[in-house]
Amino acid sequence: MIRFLHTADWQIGRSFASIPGDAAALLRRARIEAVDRLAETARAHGCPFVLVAGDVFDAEHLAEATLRAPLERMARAQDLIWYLLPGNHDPDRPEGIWDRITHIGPPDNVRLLRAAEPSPLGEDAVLLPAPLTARDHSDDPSAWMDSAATAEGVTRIGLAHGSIRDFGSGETAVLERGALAPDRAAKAGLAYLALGDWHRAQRITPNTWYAGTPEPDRFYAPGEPDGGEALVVSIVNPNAPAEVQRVRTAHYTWARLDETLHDADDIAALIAKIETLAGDPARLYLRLALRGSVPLAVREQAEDGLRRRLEGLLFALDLDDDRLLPEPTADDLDAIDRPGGILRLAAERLQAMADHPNDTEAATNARRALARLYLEARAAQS
Amino acid sequence: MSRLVITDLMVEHFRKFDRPQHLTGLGPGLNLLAAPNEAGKSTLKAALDAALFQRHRVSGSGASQYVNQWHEAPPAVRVVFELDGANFSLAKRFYKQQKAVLQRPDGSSIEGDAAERELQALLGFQTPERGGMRAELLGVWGLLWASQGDTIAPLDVSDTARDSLAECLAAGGVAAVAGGRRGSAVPAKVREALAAYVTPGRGQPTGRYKQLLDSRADHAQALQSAEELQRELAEQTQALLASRRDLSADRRGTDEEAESEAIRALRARLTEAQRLAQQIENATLSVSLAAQDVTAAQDAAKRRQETIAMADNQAKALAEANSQVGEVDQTVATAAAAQTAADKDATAAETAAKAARTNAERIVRQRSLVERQTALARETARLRQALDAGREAQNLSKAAKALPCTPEAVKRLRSLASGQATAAAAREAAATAVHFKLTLEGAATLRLNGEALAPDAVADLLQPAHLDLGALGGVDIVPRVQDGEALERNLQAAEAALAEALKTLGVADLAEAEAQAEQLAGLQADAKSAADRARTLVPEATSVADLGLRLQQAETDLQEITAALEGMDDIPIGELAGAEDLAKAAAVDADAKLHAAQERLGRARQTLALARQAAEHAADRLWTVQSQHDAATQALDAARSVAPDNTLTERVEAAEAKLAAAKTGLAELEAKTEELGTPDRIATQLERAEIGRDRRRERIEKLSLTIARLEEQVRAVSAKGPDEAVAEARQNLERVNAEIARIERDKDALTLLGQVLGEAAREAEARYLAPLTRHLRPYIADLLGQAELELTSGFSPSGLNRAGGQEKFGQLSAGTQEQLSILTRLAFADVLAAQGRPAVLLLDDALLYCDDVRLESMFTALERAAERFQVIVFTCHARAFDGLGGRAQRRLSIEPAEPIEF
Repeated sequence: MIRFLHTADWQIGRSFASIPGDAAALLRRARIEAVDRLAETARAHGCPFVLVAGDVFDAEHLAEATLRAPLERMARAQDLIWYLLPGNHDPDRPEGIWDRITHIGPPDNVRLLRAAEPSPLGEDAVLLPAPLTARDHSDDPSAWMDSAATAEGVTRIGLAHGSIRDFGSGETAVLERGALAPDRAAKAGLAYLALGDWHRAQRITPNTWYAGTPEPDRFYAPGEPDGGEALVVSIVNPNAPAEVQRVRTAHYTWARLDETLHDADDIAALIAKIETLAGDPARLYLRLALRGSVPLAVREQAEDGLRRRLEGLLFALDLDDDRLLPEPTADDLDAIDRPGGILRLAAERLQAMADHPNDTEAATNARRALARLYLEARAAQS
Repeated sequence: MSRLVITDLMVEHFRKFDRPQHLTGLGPGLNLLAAPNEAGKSTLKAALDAALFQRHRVSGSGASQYVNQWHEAPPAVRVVFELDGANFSLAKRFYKQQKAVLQRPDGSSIEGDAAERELQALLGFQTPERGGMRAELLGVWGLLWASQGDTIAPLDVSDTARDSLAECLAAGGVAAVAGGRRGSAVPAKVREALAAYVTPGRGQPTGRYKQLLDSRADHAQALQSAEELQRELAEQTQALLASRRDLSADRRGTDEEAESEAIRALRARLTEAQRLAQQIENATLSVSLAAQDVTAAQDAAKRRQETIAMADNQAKALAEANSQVGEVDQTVATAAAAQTAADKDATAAETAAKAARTNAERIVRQRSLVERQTALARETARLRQALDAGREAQNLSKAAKALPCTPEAVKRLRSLASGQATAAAAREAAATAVHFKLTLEGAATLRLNGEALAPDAVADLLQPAHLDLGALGGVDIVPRVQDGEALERNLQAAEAALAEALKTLGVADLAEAEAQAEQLAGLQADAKSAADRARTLVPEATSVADLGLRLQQAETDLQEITAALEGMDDIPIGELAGAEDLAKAAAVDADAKLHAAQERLGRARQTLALARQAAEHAADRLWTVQSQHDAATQALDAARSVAPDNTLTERVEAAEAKLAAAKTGLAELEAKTEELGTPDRIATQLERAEIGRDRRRERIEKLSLTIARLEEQVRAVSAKGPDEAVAEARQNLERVNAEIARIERDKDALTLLGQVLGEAAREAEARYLAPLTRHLRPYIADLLGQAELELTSGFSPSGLNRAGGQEKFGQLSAGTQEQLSILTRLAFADVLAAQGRPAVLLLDDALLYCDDVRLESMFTALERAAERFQVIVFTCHARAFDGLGGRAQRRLSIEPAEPIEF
């Protein structure tokens, strides 16, 4: 039986700089530390090999420290052999990242799969890698596997990076031109085809799988897999479907919520819901989009209560409340000022502007101003 | 409604009033106290202030300010007022024996602090607890009661006054303009929040917003730098790959041995080609020399032919020159003869012209002398007449000067005769006349002063006289006249002076003197007439002697001319002019002929000179041609003696044969070179081959170095992680842009909120001030016509809108400011009165800067206001107010009063 750990899309070097605060640095660090977690996973499941199906690095030209960080982590895991495949983010081009690694000398337990040629995997199996030499390509890089000559009786395991051809829309649509054949495993007599590129684990055929990224980097709705996994692959019979076990490797959870609010009760319910999204809310990175028309008091709670609560609770929060429209009630206006008062006059003017049907930008601005007036009036009252 | 009317005011020992005084006449409507300076108006205003608003217990300077400086008795004030028809009386004493008593309408009274508290409740102000009154305690009363100078100062509305007015306006149904604490706190908070993003003045980004904008620029710069690094890396990588390709190409397919053999063969060919080239050079030189020999022989033959031709030409030229010399000599002879003839004609013409001119000059002179002679004859006659007249005048003057009785002398004589007659008349008038009628006998016997008397003698006696009556005795006659002697002396002196004058003039009496004076005048008139005649004839003469000299000169000149004319032709005077004209015409004609002859002579001379010049030129040319001919002949002879003409032809033929042989040898050598190639071409081929080899070696070396360098650079740049840096910079920009967008959304919302709050504040303020503006508008219209006074929310005037523009209040004239300030006070009082608050307007020495028209308007406004509340005006300009008539005025006066009772 051959057992190995299938992983991909580490994309070491991704900066996350668009995320404010310390979160970016923590996310970068988490991706490096994922190597350690993968090693632990491999050991835990008795995998002597780790196949990384492309995009080990996020780009070709990375800083020296970034380049060395995962190599050092892999080097420390001396009991494992790491097979690294160039992907579309880190294609093997002259003077590219793989030349640099070769130049500095990779760790002994790290194999660079730079040529489309069979590479032994232990004594009973052979790897048929399909390294990418460019970001974009027009041919199926795995096509050569069909005719690859290997010793009789050895288990043929393919390793490729790219999208599956004719496999629906969405993520595949942009890469149709150089996509992989979905039946490559069957055509090439592969016991298993380990794929990379998609960031969530995905079974294509019983012996063709995408492993996904070990540390999530995209938002998905609750219930949808967000990545953050590796696959423990066991091949008992090369002609039978491989046994594939999905193992959670993520440190952080990424989630996306689109919620419509009506009143204060909705806010409380929303907080309760968020608390259940991750085992540890402190590891949850939430993108929350709020919508609806709510009284100013509720809008204030969303701003003052919900935001501050979640900012304290979660690892990171990306709150979009632009579409949570303030809809002042009579109580709201009374809370601002009594009729005839300056603040009340101002609130009424802003309300009229916010209801302007033709100038949405001005109306949105007026709504913000109105919400701010409510906040300030309430603050001045207290 | 509370209507307050002050009906009486008494003071005692209060400031300048040391005795009890009473302001009489107070009542509803417009009250006017017109009194001169220092009458005590401001003191009465201070007394009203003290009674109503000052604590009776006030101490220190607050109390001592009321004390009369001559009389330290405690100052006291009593004010009687009517509030809603009920009468109150308030009396206060300050400084010592402090006391306050308020008598109520029902007859009861309260005293002390209780009295003051009740008064405060009635009138609506605060009582000062310590110290003196302050504007903020008086509330709106501080505005309604304007002291001297208050109205010309900016209207300062205290907080309490503003609150009072605001309360009245609010009671009228208008909400508070400020919107309470929140109304000011929220805009301030909004401004503060906005100021965290942009500066309040110029709206420049600040704080976090500015940091982000700066940060965006930094990130954009970082992105640019990283992208530049990326490009640099890509270019270096491309260069590296290209270098590797070039190196590979250079190393591929190069045969070093064949390349060296080819170079050696080229070198051998080059040596052979260089040898051939030397031979060609020698053959070329032989051809060149043979060609030079041919040319030299041909040149010698050619020069011989030219020498022969030249000698022939010189012979022809010599013959022509000889012929020309003969022709020119003939021309010279003809011209010389012509000049001689012309010279002769010119001499004859010159003689004739000279004779004609001499004749004309002689006749001209003769005519001139004759004219001069005639003129001198007339001059001599005129001078002679003048000389005669002058001499006659001299004689007459001389005769006149011999007569002494000049008019002055006669005039003096007349004066002396008159003096004598006057003296005689005075004596006669004073003398005592004694008329004797005597007989002869008696006359013989009687003697007056010893002298006998005539029978009818009359004696004028001035002095005592004795009439000797002989035997009869005598009579002494004593005239009563005084100064008889002086009269007598005067007469004698006058007579003596007259006699002396007559004697001097040599006449017997005055009549003779006057006759002589008349004769003198006649002589002088004749002398003047003769002298005038002489001056008329010769005005330029200065004297008779001068006339004599002039006559003498004229006669001499006449004699000389007459002598000169004696030798001349005897031509009648009348024909002289004609003769002169004929002589002049003859002279002109002779001159013309002379000129023509001279011109002909000039032309003949010129012709001769030209002919002689031509002859010289012909002779020169003959000499030159002769010389050239001689030289050419000699040269030809000399050349032929050296080489006869046929020898030269043979030399040419020999040289041409030698040249042909040399050219044949050269052509053979060139054919060989064509086959082998020229040394230059072979050298170029050799050089190209060697350079190609050297360059390839050098290129390979360079490429190797370049590749090594580029590999190093690519690795170094790659190690900087440009891809990572670009991604990070892009995401940083994305993050910063997102935050900037959020701030700008917030800023825009705050900006809008600030604007809307401002608009709301202005709207609320306008609504809030509307009642006050409504009261104010008619006053302003009466004063300024179509105009509107702008008020701040604190009720202070801020600007005046009129004629389509706004003027700042502080820039209006002092008078207009004061008037508007008073009208604003009236409006305040109106607002209070409308809300049933007690209001009395008191102006002390206001309206100082009003012109007549404005004063009338202000007075109308005060009158109109006084219909609703009491108005009290203290002024020192009695006459100005008198001129406004007595409409609804209460005239107040200060009168002595009884002491104030407590």
